[in-house]
Amino acid sequence: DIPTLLDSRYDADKAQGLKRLIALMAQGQDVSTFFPQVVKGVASQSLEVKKLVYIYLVHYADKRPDEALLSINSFQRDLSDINPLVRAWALRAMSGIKVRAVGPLVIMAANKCARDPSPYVRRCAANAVSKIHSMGDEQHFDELVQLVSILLNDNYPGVAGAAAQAFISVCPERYSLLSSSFRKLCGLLYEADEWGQISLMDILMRYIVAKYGVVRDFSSANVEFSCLQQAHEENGGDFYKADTRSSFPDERWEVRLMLSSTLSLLRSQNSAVVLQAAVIHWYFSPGNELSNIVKPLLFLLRSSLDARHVVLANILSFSKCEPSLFEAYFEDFFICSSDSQAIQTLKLDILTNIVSDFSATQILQELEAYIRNPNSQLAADAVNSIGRCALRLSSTVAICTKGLLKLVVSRSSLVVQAVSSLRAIMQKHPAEQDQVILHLLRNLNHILEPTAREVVIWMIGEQAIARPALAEGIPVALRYLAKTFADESNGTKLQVLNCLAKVSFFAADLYLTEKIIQIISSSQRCSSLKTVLLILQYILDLAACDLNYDVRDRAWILRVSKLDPGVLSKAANSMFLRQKSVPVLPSLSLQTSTFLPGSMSH
Amino acid sequence: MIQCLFLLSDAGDVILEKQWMGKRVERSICSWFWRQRSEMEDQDPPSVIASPTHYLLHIVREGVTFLACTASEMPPLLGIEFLCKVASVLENYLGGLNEDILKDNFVIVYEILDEMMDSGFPSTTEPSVLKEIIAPPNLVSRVLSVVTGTSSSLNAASPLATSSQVSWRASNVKHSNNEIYFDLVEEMDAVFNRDGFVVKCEAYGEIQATSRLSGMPELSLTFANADILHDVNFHPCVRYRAWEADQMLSFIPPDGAFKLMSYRVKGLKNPPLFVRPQLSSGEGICRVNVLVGLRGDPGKPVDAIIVQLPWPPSVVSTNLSPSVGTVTYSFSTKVSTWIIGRIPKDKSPCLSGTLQLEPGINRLEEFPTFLVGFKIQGTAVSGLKVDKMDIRNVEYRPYKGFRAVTRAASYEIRT
Repeated sequence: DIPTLLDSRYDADKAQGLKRLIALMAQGQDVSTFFPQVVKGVASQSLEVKKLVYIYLVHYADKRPDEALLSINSFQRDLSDINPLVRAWALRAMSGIKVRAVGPLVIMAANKCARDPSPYVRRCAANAVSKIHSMGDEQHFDELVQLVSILLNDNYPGVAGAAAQAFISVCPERYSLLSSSFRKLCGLLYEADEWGQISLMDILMRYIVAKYGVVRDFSSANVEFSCLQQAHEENGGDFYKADTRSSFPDERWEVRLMLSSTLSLLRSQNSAVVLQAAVIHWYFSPGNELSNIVKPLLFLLRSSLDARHVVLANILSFSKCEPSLFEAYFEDFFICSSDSQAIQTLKLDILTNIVSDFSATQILQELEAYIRNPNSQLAADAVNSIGRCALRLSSTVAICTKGLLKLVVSRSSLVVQAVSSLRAIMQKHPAEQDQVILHLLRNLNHILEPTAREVVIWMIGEQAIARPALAEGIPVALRYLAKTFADESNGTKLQVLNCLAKVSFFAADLYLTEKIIQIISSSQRCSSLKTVLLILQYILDLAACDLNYDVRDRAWILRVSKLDPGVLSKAANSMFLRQKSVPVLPSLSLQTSTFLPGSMSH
Repeated sequence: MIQCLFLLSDAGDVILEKQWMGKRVERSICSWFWRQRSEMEDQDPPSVIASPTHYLLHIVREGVTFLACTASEMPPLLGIEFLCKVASVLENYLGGLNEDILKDNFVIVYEILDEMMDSGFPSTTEPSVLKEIIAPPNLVSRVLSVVTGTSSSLNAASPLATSSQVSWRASNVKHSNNEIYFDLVEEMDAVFNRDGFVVKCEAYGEIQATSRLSGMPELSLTFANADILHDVNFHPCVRYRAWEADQMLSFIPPDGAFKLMSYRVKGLKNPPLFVRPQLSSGEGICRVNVLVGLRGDPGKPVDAIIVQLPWPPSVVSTNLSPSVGTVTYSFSTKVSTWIIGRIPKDKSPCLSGTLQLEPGINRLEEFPTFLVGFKIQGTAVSGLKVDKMDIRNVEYRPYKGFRAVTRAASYEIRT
């Protein structure tokens, strides 16, 4: 019945048929077979039928270009219609037909519409320019650029916004077009509609970057934004002496103008506008004015709930380079129970980046509250974060280690994170180790998780080399480990062997030196050294019969290297006794600091 | 550039699709998205995901998922804000937003989407302008179309909104009764730690206005205590310079309902409710005692008080009885809901009982966070007061109305 409706004389029937077609189109079905019949309706006088026909045509124009071409005449007639809507639709349909042959015709039409009295039509012309360009025809490039420059100089802010978008798609490098209208475009910025504001800010920012070259090349992998300040000083001389000057030198007036025009946009209701304005200020603002972006960004976290994830990712990048900006606002990053997993990790990362002496106690209290949360992932991440805080701020090491030690005993599900964090802290702050190691030693039989046991045993091995004060405790621990060796997991067995190797090398050296010096008080030490060597022998024998080949191999290597006093033993020495570097506890979310904030990578 | 938009139902079926670029994006991307979403259990995936072929941006409104796909670089928030705009315009037009309403109005929705975005970039998104181009479906026009057989979803005259000086208001609006209403809608967020002290308390508010004024009125609004506002953001119609200079909102309002500004007041000291939980556990049983009461005096009665108690996974069953109100327990989500309503003058609501823990667990190791909901009609708990509102440039005297309401948003009690 759709064909009958379409062929009927009455507009109402035609409209009904078209509506059915569009409903089918909306559900994704292909109704292009009706094209010839629909196209006939383009000459209809009824506005409604025309509108529906144009919607259909624009959708299918590139699938059936030849048939669409047949109605080019009626499009051109409609371009001179009284109603600006009709003119706009006609242009949209024409630019939707992506056939090279009609390229010149479409450009002529766009030219005409660019001078149209109605701003709606002019805006449509700007959009048409990008479509024409996407056809890929290089011949008309100059005419298109000409059109873009006419539209950019338009007085109506909405048109200028759409023209900015056309500029980005057609000729993003032609900064000469912008130099004459820079001041005008900055003035129009506030009155343009939201989407236009985003495009305008984008092209103004690129113009400034191209002219002054202040931004470093971001394709190198290790760039951090904190280098920006130095780059500015290399490039611009006294551009960023923020504390001594309050105004820019005259040749930088464009940067100043752009910054002042975008300042009010930080208060927009549209989160995309706010973020874009914040990014501009981030790149170009002198240090003392950079704090302007902080409050609007944080408000976005509350006012636009859908945008939270993206905004937090950007704040993470900012906080890595300039933690001082966000230090006072740590309360905004406290986790609510309604936050999703991704948002929780981002907030925890940001909190660890901005922790400072002033906020340390409150942030640590918050992290402690998260550890009690039923969400196990959150609790584990919070323990990790405590470790990272301690690594960042030496003043918190004591509190963190105390808290982590308590966790080791009380919460079996969090032992692994607690112990890993402790290990990292110990490597960075060797002074605190004695108490911690002794505590862990005492509780070794309570720690049942294999990964955690491995870490503790490794720590024992490492510290035995450096801290002879533990010498009394070590043989006891080793005896215990010897008893439980057969029941440990494979990873733990390997670690025990490592630990033994380190202890025994150290012990052997000490033994030799003691023998030489013959100090009486060392008789006790001699006996404990003998114990160590005995235990080593025992465990090596056990390991040689182990089911796992890794364990057997390692035991064999150790045994051989002990026997041979020459090269092998030296090699083993260097393998086990080397100084290990301080680990960096990885941050919980994706690393994006090498990419531009505000772009899709965040 | 946004290539296409899919509207998905809460089961993952495609209700509607709209393509803007010539190259069609296949529907298989929707099933990929849905698989990702179900893998995340009951959490929402991040708003921007990268699939092997496209970037997917999505928002969810009332169970309907708006999914946009793009294959090129663009500011991700542009896509998300556009989707929010689409959702609010559709709700404005159709009076609601769910699967059935969308299915009844395919053509209107398609026309709106066609007008809102031109070749992948947002074009006309102001509701007042859109309404001139595409008339919303309402009962009168439906009746007319049945009776007379004609239905016009268009005005024959050219839309005047396209030619007025401000892009959000047509130049010839006429109403018989001139009136303007302001609603201060506030939400309170608070976090209490396990000792009952306030960790953080702040209020987020929006001023929503409904204007039915003729002509081109110039409004100016001042507050008695604007300095308590910590953050603000404004509708594009507000003149920024006037605010910067004297903290005065000066604007030409759009016609109809719009959000004039949103603000936040931090560091509040007067959360209206307190909740005192006591949990003591031992030998597989946990004794619970929760006390709820008013603290301070918000000035107006606190209504619709409801406490959500989500128990940790180690709890198997609950046996709770309240002194005021009713308690229900949901086995699937392990959440007890205590509906109190209004606190009576003579009794203070108290919930007591026991929880049965899983066998093998003696004591409670993880402590839940309770969520409280309430509503206070007639007062803005942040303390923001409107001082006066003037209207210039018109010959009539309009009716002005102010209302305030406060709700609880994220009011958490840690145990």
